[in-house]
Amino acid sequence: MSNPPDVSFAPESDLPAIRARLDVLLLIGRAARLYFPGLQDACDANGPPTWDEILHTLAEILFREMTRKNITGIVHAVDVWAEFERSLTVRKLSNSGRLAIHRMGQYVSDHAVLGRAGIGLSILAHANTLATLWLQRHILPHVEYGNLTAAPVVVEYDEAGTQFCAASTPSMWQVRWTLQPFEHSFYGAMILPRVFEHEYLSHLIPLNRHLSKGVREVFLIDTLEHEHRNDAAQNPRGKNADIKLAAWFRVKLEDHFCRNGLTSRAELRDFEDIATLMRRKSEPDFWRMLDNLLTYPNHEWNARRVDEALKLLRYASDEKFDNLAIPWNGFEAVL
Amino acid sequence: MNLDHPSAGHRYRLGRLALRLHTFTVAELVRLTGIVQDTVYGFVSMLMHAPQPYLEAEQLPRETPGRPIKRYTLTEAGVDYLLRKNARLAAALREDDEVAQTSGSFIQAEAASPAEPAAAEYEVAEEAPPRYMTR
Repeated sequence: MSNPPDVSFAPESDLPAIRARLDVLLLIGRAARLYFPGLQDACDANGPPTWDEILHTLAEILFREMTRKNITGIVHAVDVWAEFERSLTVRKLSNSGRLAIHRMGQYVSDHAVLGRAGIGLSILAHANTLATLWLQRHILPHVEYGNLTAAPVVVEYDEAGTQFCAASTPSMWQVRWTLQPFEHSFYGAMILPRVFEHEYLSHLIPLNRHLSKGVREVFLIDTLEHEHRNDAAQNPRGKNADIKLAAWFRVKLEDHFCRNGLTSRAELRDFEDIATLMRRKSEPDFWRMLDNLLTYPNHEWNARRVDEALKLLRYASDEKFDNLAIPWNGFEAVL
Repeated sequence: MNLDHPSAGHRYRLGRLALRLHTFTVAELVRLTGIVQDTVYGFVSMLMHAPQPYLEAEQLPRETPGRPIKRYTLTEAGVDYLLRKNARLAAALREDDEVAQTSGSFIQAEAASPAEPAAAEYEVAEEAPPRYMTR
């Protein structure tokens, strides 16, 4: 096992208060994820409040305290949790729902101690390692890609939430992970390894630096989701929780970015379902297609060709799709 | 998104979410889409009563008073069906985006498919505007 990847703060975000916010967000996110299956089962069976209302209430309290600058140390995670437990939404929960919340709270209070300051960086490093291991095991054996090394992570703070919540720089082999005091960040904190997997597969691994948002944010994310769904080695309860939270994270993120004009629903729609459809039609051809995409030469013109080919498949009839893509002979052959 | 065409947009959103989630409750689809409950029930009911089951239902054990709640899981046939259906809806929505026409093209696309339930099965009561229209 290699050394854990580096995680550090960007100079402008390297402040004690921001370190504390990171610790509190990722500690609470980890606690919520650990006991999420119990909360989900309780809420799904008993009706309101729903589990997302519970998480919404928690995220609202957490980010309000962050932006009011009331979080200055990891111990403040306990204050956030106490206020959350007193909320009307939590008090309306069934017994089993309250039990899940109690377990999450116990985890928070066990870890929100001064000696654990800096836990946020450790959680990020661990998630980064898990992501590279999972990709090496599940995706990379199917494509012509050598050894994947973990990229250093740089943490930034974006209070306005106008940037992407993570961004990667292939030339520096670096991931920039951004803490944003918005609800989607809370969902992201619960499924951190997924966020890193996406950064590698969509932004660091492809040779072509000009791939569109549709390819990176839809086609390649669908590829990850489908592989996770088929991952027989993962505990089913944990897998289902991650699938659920990842789907909600995606919707919340898309809503956030569509509102801020960073993308449009029509732009995303052009690329939806193609990966799933292709994989269900022919798994070997799907992997050939993915390999072709990840190794497509780095030129803007090539990225446009990929977009054109995928859009052609997106709107093709079933029969035409088969004629164009099975067997897979490359993006040029589709066009 | 063509705002003259809310029901095609709603059906597309519901299908897309069902494909992403695979397992869901009606309440969950309502909360994720902002689409009214009756419309979501219509969507689920259509999948439940297809000639071959597109959904499996699981009744959840309830601790509090009230009607039991069901959780649904897409079957393999359901995934295939929604992928096909969403491809057609996406094409109709794109066409609408481009030419800003009325619902005629979508109705034609639905009617062209013999594997689809009759269009009337999709018709629903008055629908609330999708959330993104109100922002």
